[in-house]
This record gives sequence, C-alpha cells and structure tokens, in this order.
Amino acid sequence: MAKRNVVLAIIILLAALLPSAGCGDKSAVVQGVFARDGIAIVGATTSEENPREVILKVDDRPKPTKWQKHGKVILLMEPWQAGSSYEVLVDGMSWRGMAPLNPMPLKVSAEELGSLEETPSVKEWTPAVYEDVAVSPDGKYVGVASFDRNVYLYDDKGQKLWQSRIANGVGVAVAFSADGSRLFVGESSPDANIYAFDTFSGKTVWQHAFAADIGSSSAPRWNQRPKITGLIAAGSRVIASAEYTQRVAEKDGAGTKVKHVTACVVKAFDSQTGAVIWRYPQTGAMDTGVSRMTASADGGKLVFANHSWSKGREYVDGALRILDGATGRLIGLHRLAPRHFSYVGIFDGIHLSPNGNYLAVITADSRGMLFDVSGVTAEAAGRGDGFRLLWLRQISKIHQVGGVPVYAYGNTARTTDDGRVFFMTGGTFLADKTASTGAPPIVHPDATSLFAYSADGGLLWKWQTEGGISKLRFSRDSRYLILPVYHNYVTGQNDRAGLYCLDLAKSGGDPLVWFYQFEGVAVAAAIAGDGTAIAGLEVPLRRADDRQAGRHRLHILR
Amino acid sequence: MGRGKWLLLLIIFIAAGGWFILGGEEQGVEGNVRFGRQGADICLAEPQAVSRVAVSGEGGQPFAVAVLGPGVRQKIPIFMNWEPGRKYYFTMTLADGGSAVLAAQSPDERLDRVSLKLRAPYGLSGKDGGGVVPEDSVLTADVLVTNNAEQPVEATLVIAVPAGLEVVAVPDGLRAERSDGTLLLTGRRRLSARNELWNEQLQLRAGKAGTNAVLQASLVLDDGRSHWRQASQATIQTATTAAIGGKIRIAAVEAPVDSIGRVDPKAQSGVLVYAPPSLLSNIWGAQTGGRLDDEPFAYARVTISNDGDEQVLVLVAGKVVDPATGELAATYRVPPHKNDGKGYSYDVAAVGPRGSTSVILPLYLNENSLLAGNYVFRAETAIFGVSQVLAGADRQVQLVARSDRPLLITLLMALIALVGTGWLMWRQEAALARFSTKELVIISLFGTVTFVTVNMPQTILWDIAHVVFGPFSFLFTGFFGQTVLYALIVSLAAVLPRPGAITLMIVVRMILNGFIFGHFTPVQILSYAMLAVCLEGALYLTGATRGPRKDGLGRVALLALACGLVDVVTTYMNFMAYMTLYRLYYADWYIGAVIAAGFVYTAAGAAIGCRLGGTLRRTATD
Amino acid sequence: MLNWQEFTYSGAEATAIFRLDPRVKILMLVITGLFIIFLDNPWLLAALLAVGLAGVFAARLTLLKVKIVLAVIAIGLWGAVFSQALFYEQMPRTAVLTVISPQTPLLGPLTGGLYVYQEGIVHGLRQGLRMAAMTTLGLLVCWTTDSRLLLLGLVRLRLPYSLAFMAVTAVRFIPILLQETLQVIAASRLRGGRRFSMQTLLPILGNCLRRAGTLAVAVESRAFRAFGERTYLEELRFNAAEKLLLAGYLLLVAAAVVSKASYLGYQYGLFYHSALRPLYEFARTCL
Repeated sequence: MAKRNVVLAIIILLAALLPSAGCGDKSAVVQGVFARDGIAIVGATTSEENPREVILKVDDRPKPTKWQKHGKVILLMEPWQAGSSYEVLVDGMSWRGMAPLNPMPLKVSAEELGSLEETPSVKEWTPAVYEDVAVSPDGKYVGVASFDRNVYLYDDKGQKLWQSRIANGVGVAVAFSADGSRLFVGESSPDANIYAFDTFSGKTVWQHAFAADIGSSSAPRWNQRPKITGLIAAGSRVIASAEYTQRVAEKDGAGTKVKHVTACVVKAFDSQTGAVIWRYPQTGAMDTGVSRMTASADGGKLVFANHSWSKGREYVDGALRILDGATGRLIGLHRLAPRHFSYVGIFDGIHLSPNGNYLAVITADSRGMLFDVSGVTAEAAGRGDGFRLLWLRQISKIHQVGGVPVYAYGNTARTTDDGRVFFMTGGTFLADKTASTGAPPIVHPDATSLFAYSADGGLLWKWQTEGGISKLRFSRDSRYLILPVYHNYVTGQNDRAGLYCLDLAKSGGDPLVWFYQFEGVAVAAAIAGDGTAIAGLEVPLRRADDRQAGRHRLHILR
Repeated sequence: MGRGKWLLLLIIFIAAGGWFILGGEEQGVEGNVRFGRQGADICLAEPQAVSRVAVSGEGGQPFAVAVLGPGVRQKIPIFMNWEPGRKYYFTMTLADGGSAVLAAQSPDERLDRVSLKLRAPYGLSGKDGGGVVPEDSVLTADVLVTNNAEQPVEATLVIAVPAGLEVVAVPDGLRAERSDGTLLLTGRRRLSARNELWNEQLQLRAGKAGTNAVLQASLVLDDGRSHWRQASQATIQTATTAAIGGKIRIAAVEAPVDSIGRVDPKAQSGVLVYAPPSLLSNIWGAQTGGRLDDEPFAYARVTISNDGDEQVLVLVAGKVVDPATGELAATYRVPPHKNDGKGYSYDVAAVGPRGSTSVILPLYLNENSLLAGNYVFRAETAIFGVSQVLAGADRQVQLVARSDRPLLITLLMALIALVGTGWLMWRQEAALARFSTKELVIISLFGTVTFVTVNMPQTILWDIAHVVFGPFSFLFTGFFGQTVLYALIVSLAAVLPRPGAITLMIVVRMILNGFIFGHFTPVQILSYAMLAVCLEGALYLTGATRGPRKDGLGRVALLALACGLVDVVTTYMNFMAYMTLYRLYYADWYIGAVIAAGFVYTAAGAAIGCRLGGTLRRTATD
Repeated sequence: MLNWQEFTYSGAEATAIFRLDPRVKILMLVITGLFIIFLDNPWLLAALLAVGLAGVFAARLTLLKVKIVLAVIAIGLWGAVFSQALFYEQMPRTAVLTVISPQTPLLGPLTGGLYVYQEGIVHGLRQGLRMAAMTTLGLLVCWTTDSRLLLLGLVRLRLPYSLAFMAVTAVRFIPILLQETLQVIAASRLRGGRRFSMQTLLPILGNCLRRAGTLAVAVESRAFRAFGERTYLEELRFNAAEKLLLAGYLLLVAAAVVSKASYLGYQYGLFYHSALRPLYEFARTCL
C-alpha cells in the first residue's frame, strides 16, 4: 500500500511539473536596450500593428516621448542618462532598467548564410574565409559578398530581399553606390568580374571582366585566380582594382626560367551604365599589386600604393599614387623606400581625408606618416612631388632579438579632415608570418592596437585588443570604428572574437563603446555612413579538437 | 481516496508550485569571474547560451552591459572599469529567457598605474623575468614601461648592469654612465597617453659559466602631483653550452609533414615530393595557375625537449643544405622577401619545464634552381635572443618529382582496351575461324570451370573475408583469385597452345561474370582487357602459345615468372584505375603487399597449371 | 542439391522490366557504367542506387534475390568504408582509432602507422555508393532477362555469334559443372582427401575435354558455322516506348557527361569560356 502511494506521488509530481514547465513562456521576455539613439524595447510586440500605448517613466516620473516602430522593436527617441532609472510600459507590458555608462548594440537579426567549403582553424593565423559586407549609405540595406559563392541583400530589419549565385567564382569585395541604387560585387574567378546589381530587384545591370587586362586562370584556390582587390564608390563612379599573379615559364637559352608575373589595373566605371570612364595605366598593366584605394569625398582624388614582394620594375613597391578621379590621370607620385625589411608593404594602411588634404600611411614595418597633399591637384600635376611629409613616427617598435625581428605589422590608417590620424597594428610577426606556420609564443606589446594621433603627431591614446583583426570600417565622419576580430592564434582562444565599436571622438576614458561577442569569429564588418546600422559576418571556427564553434551568420545591429 | 493521499497530493503541488515560482527563473549556472586590466572575464563551467550580461554593484548601480550574439560560449569578456575590493554582480540572461547571477569580489589592490617589466632573455614570462644562458653568448633583454592611467607621467628609467654582464650596444634612447663599478643606462620619457609604452631592448654579453648576474631596472615616476618608484629585476644565470644543450635538445625531426604537423602515412619519410605542372597541361599548353613562389611546397616538424626546470623560449631554424658543401641549397632557398632575407625558415616556441613542443617549418622550392636529389635538413636550436646554437640535428631528405601516375596509367589501360577491343571487333571473323568448334567448346568449358572454381568462391569468400579483414582479405582470397585462375589459364594454354585461346576464355569469363553477378562496369572491362593483352603477350613470348612444348623445370619456372609478372602489372594497373575512376585511396605499402602476395600465388598457380596442362593434353589427344 | 535457378533469371514476365528489350537493358547498363565514373555528387550516386533498388522491388523478385542484393550492397559499402577509412589521404583528416601504432615492431615502420580516419569513413560511403549502384543495376538486368535473350541482345549489338554460342554454352554448363565440382569434392573427402585441392580440377577438366568433342559434333550436325548468316527463332524489335526511353536516357547522360567533361577541361586548363560558367557551376555542385 505504501509503495503504491509513493508511485502515485511520483506520477502526480511529474504530471504537475510537466504543465508547470510549459507555463510562463520564458522566451517572451520584454527587454530594453540602451542604444545609441534611444531606448529600444524588444519583445513587447509580436504583431505588425503599432502598440496602442507606450509610456515612459524616468526615475519613476512619467515623461512624454516620441517613439518609432522598427519591425518588432519599439525605439523611444529618448536621450538617456547613465545612472537614471527607466521604466517603459507597452500595452501594459513593463520593462525597467538602469541606464549604463555606454550604449549597447541593438541586435536586429542574426541570419544564417550558406555553408562554407572551408573554415578557419584556431591553429592558423589567418581567418581563411575571405568575404565582405557593406551597408548602404542610408543604412537601409546590407549587401554581402559571401564565401559561400552567393551575394545577399538584406534590409535593416534582417529580412532577406534577394540572393544571387556567382557561378564558378566567389565574391571578395562589395560596395554600394553613393545613392544606394546599385550594389557592386567583385569576384575571384577566371574572369575577375565586377557585377553591378540593382539594389531593389537583384538583377544584374551590368558586369565587366578584367581577364582581358590581367589574364585568366582556372586555379582551384580563390587566392590564386584573377580577382578584384578593391572596390570604391565615388560619386557617380565606381572604381575597381583587379590583380592576378601567375607563374610563367619562359625559354631562357637552353633551359626554362620560371617567373611570377603580376598584372594589375584600376578602372573607373559609370555606376549606372557600366561604361568604362578611365583606365590606369592607360595601356598594359602595373607589374605590382595595389593597396586598398581611398578617395576624397567628392571623388576628385583617388589614392593607392603599389605593393609587391618583388619590388616591381615600372610600378615599384611603396609608390604612393594620386590619380585625378575624373580622368584617371596620375597627378601625384611619391616613393617610399623600404627601411627595416626588403619591402614597404602597404595593404590597408592608406587613407585620404574626405576633404582630400591629408594622407595617412602606415607601412608593414609600422612606420606611420601623415602627408599634406592639398597641393596635389590636377592643375598642379607635373610640378613636383606635391607630397609634404608632416610627420613620421615608428608606431610600433621592431625588436631585434638575436637577429630575428619581432614586430606588430602596420595594418590600417585613417585620417580626418582636421588631420587627426588613427593607426591600427596587426598581430605579432617574426619577420614574415607566412614564412612560419606556428603561432609565436610571445605577443608584441603593440600588437593589435589602435593608436590615435593629433595632427601634429602627438599620441593621444592607445587601445589594445586580442585576436586577429579583419577589415576595419569607419563611419563617414570617422567618429565610429567597427572592428571585426577573429581568434587569437597565440593563445588558441576565440573568446574575444566579435565586433568592437569604438567612439573615436571620446576625449577621455576608454574609446570602446561596446563589444558584441560572436560564437565563432568575425571576418568582416560594415557601418552605415551615419553610423546607424552595423553589419558583421561570423564564420565558424575549427577548434583544436576539430569541433566547430559558431555558424556562418550575418549579424545586423543598430 | 484516504486523507493521507490527499495530504500527499497537496504537499506535492505546493512543492511543484514553489519550484516554479521561486526556482524556475534562475538556473544553476556555475562559473567564476577573473578581473584583469580591461575588465573581467566570466568563465563558465559549461558552455551556455548567454544573450546578455549586466554588471551591477552592491547598491544595484549599473557598471556595464554586454550584448552577445547567438550561440553558446564558455568565456565572456566584460569590458569595464572596476574598483579594487568591491563586490560585483554579473547577471546573465540566457537565450531561453532564464537568468543566472555570479557574484565576485575584485582584487584588493589596484593595478599599477605604471607597470615595469624586465625580461632577460627576451620573451620569458617567469616570475623573476630571468633565465639561463650559455656562457659568453649575446642575449637580448627587454624593458617595457606601460602607462595604464589617463594622466601623463614623467618616467626616469635606470638600468643597472652588474659586472658579469657586458653591454654590447647602448640603445638610442638611453645614456650610459659608470657608478661604483656598475654600468648604469639612464633614460627619460614622458608617457602622455593611456597605454602608451616605452620599450627598450638591450644587447648584453654573458659572463663565464657559473656566474649569476642580477640585472636591475628602477623607475622614478612623477605625474605632477605625486612621486613614486618601481623596480624590477632579472637574474641571468650562465652555464656552459654543454650543460644547457644537455637539457634542451632536438628530440625529433620529421619531413614531410602537413601545415599543422601531421605525418602523411602515404608519403615516404624523408622524401619531399615536388608536383610540377601536369604533364598533360604542358602538352596542351594549359594555364592552371601553378604554385606561387612564396607558398611552401612542404613542411618539416622539429620537436624540442626541455629537461630543465624552467620554461625556455627557443629559436628553431631549419636549413636545407647541400651535403657536399654544407651551404644553403639554392633549390630550397626561402624567397628573399621572407624571414628578413635569411634564406631559411625559423620559428620561436615556448617549451615548458620537463616538456616538449614542436614547430612546423615551411620548406620552399625555387623552380629556377630545381635539382632533384639528396639534401640534408639541418635543424638548429638556440635560446631565443641568445646567439649561441645549443643543439642541432641533421635529417636526410630527398627531392623527387611526382607525376600524374594513376591518371596516365588509367588512360593507357583505356587505350589498350580500346585498341584491343577494336582489333577484335574488326578481325572477329578471322580470329574465331582459326578455332574449330571443338576448340571453341573447350575454351567455353574452361571459362565455365574458371567461373565456378574462381569467380564464384572468390565473390562469396571475398565478401565474407572483406567483412572481417577488410582490405587485407587478399591474403586469403588470393588462393582462388590467383593460384586456381592461373593454373586453369596455363593448363588451357597447354591444351590449346594457340594465340587467342586465352583471350576468348577471358571474354567468356567476363560475360559470365556480367550475366551472373551483374559486373558490367568499365573498370572491370578495362581490367579484363589488360589481363588478356598482357597474358597473350607473356605466353607468346615464353612460347606457351606457339605450339606444344615439353615442360621442363626451366620452362615451368619461366612460365611461373611470366605469369607472376603479368599479375604484378595488371594488379597495379587495376589499383590505378580504381583510384582514378572511383576516387579511392590506397597506401603504397598496401599496393606493394597485394602485388607481392599476388606474385607468389600466381607463380604457384602457373607452376601447377603446367603439370595439370600436361596431364590434360594427354586426355585431349586420346 | 543446389537450386541454380534460385540465383539466376527466374522467368516471371509479369513486370515491365522483364519485358524490356534486352538491348535496352544492356545499353542502359553500359551507359550507366560510363556515366557513374563522371559522378561525384553522393546524392546522385545514392539516387542511382535507389533506382536500382526500386527496380529490384518493382520487378517483384524473390525474397532470396532481394536479400542477396541487400547483402551485396551492404558488404560492398562496408568494404569501401573499411579500406578508405584506413587509406584516406586527403587533408584535413581526423584519426579516430589507431590500428597499428608507428612504434609497433616491423609493421609500424613498414606502414608508418595505420589509423581509422573519420573523413575516410565518409569518403568510403560515398565511393561505395558507386560500386553498389552498378552491382544492383547489373544484378537487376541479369535477373530480369533470360540468358538466351541477353545473348541475342549482345549478338544484335555486334557480338560475334561464335562468342555468343560460347557464352550460352558456358551459362548452360554452370549448374552441371557446379554439381560435378561438388561431387568431386565430396568424393575426395570420402577418400580422406582435402576439401579442395588442385587435384580436384583434373577430373572436372578431363570431363570437359571429353564433353567438348560430343558437343561439337552435336552442334555441327545442326549446321553451326556452316553459313555466314544465322536465323533466329526470336526477333528483337524496339517498340516506341523503348526507343524513347533509350534515347532520352542517352541524351540525359550525354548532357551530364558533356557538362562534367567541360568542367574537367576547365579545371585542367584545357578550355574555358565565360559563357560556360553556369555549366561549370552546375557540374561542380550537382555532378
């Protein structure tokens, strides 16, 4: 009898727990986010209709406020104060919170993208996956050139609008036109096409193949094929650079000599029609690659640097070139000589201020410099160099340790209209990281650091992170920096991988506004010109035990 | 229902309700919090799907909020400024709506406003910052001063270099002066920005073995309001090269390995295989890209052991040298833009006390100086930043070129099969007219016997053996597959010593195999075609199909050898066909084992066949 | 007593597969054999296997035959998985079990260590599908076609009649020789000999030689090889549906093979055209 009671009790307990486990839908929790432009309430409404009533209380006192509905998020346009208590009631559902010191990112969506053929490993120093994301100037659209061979367009609510497959190629660069009506994608493929998609319909409006200029190849790896290396929208034009390095075997007397020949060209197209406006060089191709391209806001000047491991003959490694944005004519040329290593190595470390007056450059050996290039104009072309060096700093010191150079390479440069400069260094290298495969057991004290300099070259502040850094993106006014970070190959950890948002205008304290951690690693990010919408690409990481952390996702934040 | 049962029910409902109301929201998430320079790290015992973390103080005042992306994580960094000796509450919101709170007390002591680190040799992270170096060697010491605060600070650095250490070169930022027999290196710097650092490297020469020199660094700091000092030191012990070398040694050198150090069992150890552009591509002038000169073509793994009680940082260099001259071999020279133009690969590794670690060094190939042959891979190790080489090890390596072997052989097989089949189709009437009806029947019946005594048992037995022994089943099925088969083939050749008889028997066998077992695959057709061509050739050359002959011991041995070789060739070609057409992989040693066993089985079968054939010939002529 | 019929064509003509022209079956089998070499997509390979299995069930074969097919597939897949798990050589690969450690005396240095690779298991399964599909389809053809008709089909496909005759003879004598082999083995064991030795072959082959003379006389007395042309009791004629089926299948396979060949040509740098990129993509992802 007693046994039967115990059994009965257990059954009833389970029966009681089952409904109680389902009771109270814990996932439908109202959350509030203290975002940059107000207080966002998430989870208070699930329908597309507007709520009937939204009430705001600040420190328990009602306060009238304006609000907008953004998908399922209600955004109260309320400049909140750190330390104040806020309560929001939406149709009776309540949320209460105390404002923090810094704003938080508002998670709009995290959409899964296609599967990847390869993924980065925690043991390797590169992210292995090369893809790009862009946000339209008005912040309404997000375009992705994905490593899964697709081009995606999402709206700022995280809704996929269209998707297009790149047959037999992979997108490696993406940019919106200045008016947002076109989405440009550059690919790595035997043709090295640039595609112009109509943003709204997803149709390919025009495309142009660079293979005729630089050569073609069916090499299996994307980085061995002809590819678009840079895309920049300037006014009514879009400018693209394409590069291909191939192995050429030539007869040399009785034998054969193997050479590795680079061909690179830059072309400007009409954004709407795809007509080629100009080509640089006008004939032939450069025998070195080019760095990222940077232009003044009016598109009048376009700047890039030549880079190559093997110096080049005509277009020497380390040459800074300014072209007239309208005609493609070379109007300024300045040559930097290698100092610590046999090459200069400018990749992403070049930027022209929006007003076209200042040029910031950082080389692979961490020499950072600021030039005044206001004198470089189409009219003054041919009358001297035009580059006036304002200052030069060794941003990160190269440690010579028993003949081995230990340094943090110069990664990115950014300058503002008033001449302030930001430099970012990369990870720790022992001479050339690609020449060894293991992670160095030491971290250079200036590795993965952001340096802020005044116009006269004085260091304002320095901020450091861990992990490898991908392409940095700045808001149009250079106030906000979005930094995608992948895994730390020295420690073998990825806990600091994700998106970092820094406020570069902060005069004191930590410039970090927020950190949004990814489960995997971040390989690319973008921010709208006005700083509202932010997008980041996450890829899964293979850990030391070969298990994967994370997924291939597009994160959209505000 | 009795009163007791109602009471029990009531208690159960209260308990369940209490669990739901009080305990249902917060979940038992375990972990701890570690405070550091940039904030705090939440370390969870198990990965959790945390979507947000809010940090508050004891009074509930907010300090930081972190919003996290979807997914699970075990470590969450929180970037915040913390005060020493305070309690903080980390409230984690889980993805399913639940929450968990971790409370943690920050360390009592604030982090130094300005930190001073002295490491000698460079890079060591031990408590003292010092280490052991070989006598008379040049080492690099590293001094790092970091301003952790917002306010600017004037720093005056003094490094005292004791007797027993000699400064090789004074860094540009420091000034040298002597005081009471000690060399003092002095410098002054203003650190105005937060996280700004002042970093100097000193090149020092160590003294004789057995000496302990204490390198001291002191810092005088002035922020305009207060004045304070900091100091650090590093003890540099000197020992003989032999003593240190005895503790730090190269335990193993392996090449080739892959980029993360795995050995490829299919690759022969010490043999570096260079893959030139495909021969077919060269013939057709194809452009497939090819390997670029700054990508490694192979890797070597060097394992370093540390038998000492201290962690060491070692520099490992891998040089491929010409064994005759001892100089760096031009074939393997690292591209000039890499590794500071040294021409060889190197890397740095930390080896813990009584432990070992491996470094993977890339090997490059200079196609313009390519010379296949024997070289020496020389691994050298030294304490990082110290000039003296402590240990070295040589490994013989050989450079060979790889070809598209499986594909070419398969193409050859296809060509032979096509030509053979085409010829047979074209000359079918004439070929068959050479045989009388009786002979055709004999061949047919021999084919049937072969099918019954070879194909059928082999198919059944092979399947069973394959389940248990997998690819090693050839050791058991070889008796049917080769011995009996070749006995029958050779005996048919003895009964009907005419070219074409064997081919016809193989065709009959192939048709039967297709009819009964459904084996109508291109690989099998290729395989039978090759067997027919090779056997006809071998038997003709040995005279077996050029008319009746007497079987002496020599002839038997010749036939056994010929058939054995045919089996070797056809088995090898079959493997190549399977690897190409069916994308299968087989290790070289496995192919070798199958071929070797097959040769033995076949030769035995052929020898038996000679005897069998001789007996049957007498029956046939009866 | 071994019932040979259980393992061969059983004569039921109730289903469409049985009634199909043997030439259609042979040609489709040969085309499939060539097609399957070009396929890498495991789903397509699995689909071909599924088609074969569907055919087996649609043909309403006996339970024994169905079991044989399933057993053959399972063993074939297992064989492929077993070998590829050990010999897989692509990177990355993850060793999940050590079979022979490199330190094992003799075998260790000889093999360099033998491991079971996780990726090899998957690869073996994929490639095993190829062989399993072909075996299933081959058995389906054999079990749904009278050997007479099969040979007639081969003859109509230009196989020399004499060879066809040899094949028919071989097929007809299989059960007889099988029986004789078992009898010889039994007799040998009764006399204390081994179950099977090379001596077993002597009486079997001797019988064959004696039989050959009698059979030759018998067929030659029926004008075998007396004339260049031969008449047949049955004539094979394609009907419209069979022609359509064959033509359609041939077109489909040809299209797939051309696509894959184009892609391979592009991959090996032989020929490339921008306009064919969607074709290369199709071949790469779907074939």
